[in-house]
Amino acid sequence: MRNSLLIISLCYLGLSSVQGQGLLDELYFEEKERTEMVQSTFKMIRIGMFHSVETRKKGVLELNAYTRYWNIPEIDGEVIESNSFASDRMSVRFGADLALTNKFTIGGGWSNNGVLDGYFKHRIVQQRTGKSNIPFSLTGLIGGSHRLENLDNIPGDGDPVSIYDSTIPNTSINLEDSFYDKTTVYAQLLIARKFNRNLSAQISPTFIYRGSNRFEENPNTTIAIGFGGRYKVGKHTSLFSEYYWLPESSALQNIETFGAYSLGVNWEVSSVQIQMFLTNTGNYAEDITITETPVNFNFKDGNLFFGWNFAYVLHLKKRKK
Amino acid sequence: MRKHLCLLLLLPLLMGFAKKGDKFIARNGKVSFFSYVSAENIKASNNQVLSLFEPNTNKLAVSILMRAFQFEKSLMQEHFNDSYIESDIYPKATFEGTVLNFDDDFSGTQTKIIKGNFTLRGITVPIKMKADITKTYKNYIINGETDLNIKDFKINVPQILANRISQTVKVSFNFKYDRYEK
Repeated sequence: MRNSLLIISLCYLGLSSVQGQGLLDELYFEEKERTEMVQSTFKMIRIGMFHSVETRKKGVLELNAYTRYWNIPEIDGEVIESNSFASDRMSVRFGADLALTNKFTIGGGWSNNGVLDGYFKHRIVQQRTGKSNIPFSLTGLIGGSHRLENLDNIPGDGDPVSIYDSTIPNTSINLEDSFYDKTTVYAQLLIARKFNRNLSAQISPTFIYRGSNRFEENPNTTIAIGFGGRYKVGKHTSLFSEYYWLPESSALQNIETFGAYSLGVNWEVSSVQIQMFLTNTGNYAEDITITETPVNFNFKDGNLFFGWNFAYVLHLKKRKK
Repeated sequence: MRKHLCLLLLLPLLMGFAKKGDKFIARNGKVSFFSYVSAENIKASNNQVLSLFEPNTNKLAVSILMRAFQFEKSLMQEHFNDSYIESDIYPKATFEGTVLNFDDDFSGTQTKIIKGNFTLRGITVPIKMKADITKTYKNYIINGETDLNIKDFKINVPQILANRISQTVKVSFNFKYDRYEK
């Protein structure tokens, strides 16, 4: 008897406490645990110069213009006069990227360095939180570049000093002028994690294969590892940096090369995304930038390149609600 | 004597159970918003909104998951979550309020004022809105709309867009309630 009294009193207490809750508290019990895709690991399809794990959503066409500006270095202590405004030299790449599905994006571009480039990018795994948790994102990328210049037109035979003296910075000296000889293909695995709302980091193992090489001592296959990251500093602004490291055996042997590096600011609002950065290369195609950057990153003329990437996003297909 | 005491204790307990059945839930409530912009309109909708309605106390609660808002443009949705609403910090918007002068005995549609507190981005603002409440044979339907001022919730619009984006957002809602059983 006493026991049943106790049980009833306990029930009573329990119930009165349930009744004491607000309706909103009661709703919390109704909420189902969801799996959320982690979005905005990086804001653009490129961290800066190189690809990020991000792809565009279905039906999006991105038009972009990438530019680099730099000054001609002193050669043997001799300053080369230039009448150009602000910077001695500039290069530009116009490109377009089209998302065929939410996970698959293709893109290509032309640069006035005389290079065509293109890529296919597939988002294999996207970082998730919640019910099913995946701690990282994985994207696979296959791309290539084709050099349009014929051997006759390339000045200096790949001499690293003369390269930046010309508007055609091109160390890619091929053996002959066939399509195969002037083409390079590459594959990348992009692994990234958004650690918190501000910090994202990426590691990108890269494999590059060149069609042909003028200098026998240079390797035709190259392995490189890219490191990149971004830190969000404002609602629409983030800082980014990236670096590609090559093992000695993978680097060009006839000239000294350095890892491509960039440090910059990413700003986006509405349909416009802009990146401004400092770097040590005036090239655009991934394979050329990674393997053939002949200067180290510093603030000297000829070494410092100012980069400005502009992207405009168009939604060709609007999603049904 | 003890038996009577037991019964006496049981009585409110049973009453409590009876009362519980008087709650109504909407699991797929629809909330959409619309903002007029000179360049293009911003609109999004969410049809996974949760709401509880208690007709005998006239109380109403709503919980809106921000990530569930669907936009026509994917980039707009990303900006909404990442730069404006910051849904990783503030995943939900909530409303808790009362329907004023609600007559539960009247079956059919009645237009009433709902008064309560709306919380978005951790900021609570008291709001009042007009709503149509329809009582049918076994459920309730509530729909209506209200205007929210984005300044109230400290949603910063960059200067470059400030004069292109309207300061008020029209929010409309439609909830269909069924009897709530746990």
